[in-house]
Amino acid sequence: MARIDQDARTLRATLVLVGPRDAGSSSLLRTVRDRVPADRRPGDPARAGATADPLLDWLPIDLGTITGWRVRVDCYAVSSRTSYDTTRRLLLQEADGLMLVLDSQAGRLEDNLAALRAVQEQLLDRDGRVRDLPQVCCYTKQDLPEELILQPAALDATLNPRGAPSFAVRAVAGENVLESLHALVTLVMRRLVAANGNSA
Amino acid sequence: MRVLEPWLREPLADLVRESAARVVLVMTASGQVIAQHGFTRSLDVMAAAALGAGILATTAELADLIAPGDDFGAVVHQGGAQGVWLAGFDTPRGRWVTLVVFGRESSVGLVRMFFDRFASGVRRLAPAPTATPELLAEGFERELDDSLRALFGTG
Repeated sequence: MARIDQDARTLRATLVLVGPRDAGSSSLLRTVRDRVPADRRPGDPARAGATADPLLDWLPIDLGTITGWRVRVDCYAVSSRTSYDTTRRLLLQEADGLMLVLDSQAGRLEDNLAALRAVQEQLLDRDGRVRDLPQVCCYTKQDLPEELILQPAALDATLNPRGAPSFAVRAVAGENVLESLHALVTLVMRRLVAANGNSA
Repeated sequence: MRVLEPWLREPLADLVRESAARVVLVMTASGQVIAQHGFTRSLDVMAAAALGAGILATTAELADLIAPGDDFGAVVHQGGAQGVWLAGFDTPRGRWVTLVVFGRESSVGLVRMFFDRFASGVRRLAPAPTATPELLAEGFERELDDSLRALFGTG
């Protein structure tokens, strides 16, 4: 849940990367880490020389001072293993935005759908309502041979019924990785600003 | 001792003095630090706040599973030379969490007693939150977009 400190003028939001196993959420976060300067990653465990945790990776990013507000996002990629359900549920309860990291391979369509169903279930609040969060879809592995993958339009038709911004991602090459994060941060902050009564 | 808001200094100083605490950290339920005493490096504070808030959140979930409706207000870890007291309490500003590290010169009972007094003091002294949050400045999204383009190199 976003933390807004009016006195210190700081704003901090939580973004969670979720998707089926091996869809590439860890690679995606690693690419972001590689491309964001170390001095803009305050507290990043990998910055201190530690190896990123493959089961629960955390990347804090300092977005700078925006109209006098210090803005920061915490990005989490959590393992899709069943044993991490509780961790994922807790993170999703805290999330301000979701990056749905989905595998473009035709053979993994069912896995994508199962992961999306699981996320919906984990977003239920205590009253049984699904939390409506800003989200973007990242279709990974778009660099595989065409015969193995589905094109973004076909993936959108099946996996993105609410029409969230979607991106054809090549995580290793870094294509569209930062663009998708840019879009998600914008959506999350737009909602936070609106909730605080601004017309910007 | 560092406090985000001056009115916290007195109740925190009382807690530290009366309970003989070595380290005290006061944070929101989501881990944002509000006050601290006894830390020497900022990294320690950040890690302790994140872990403390996480432990209490996890314990609350566990409590909800095994004893719904019961309130597991505090968690205590007793080591050989030092102990850790971790407890949440409600304030006019929302739920806060306090972590106290104490040594042999103190005890769980002593910390509990003065923690209760500290929590009461905070509830009494805390200014009520403003009804309407201060508006974020106009042009926030435009500046944010500029900053993201510069940081991410996105067109």
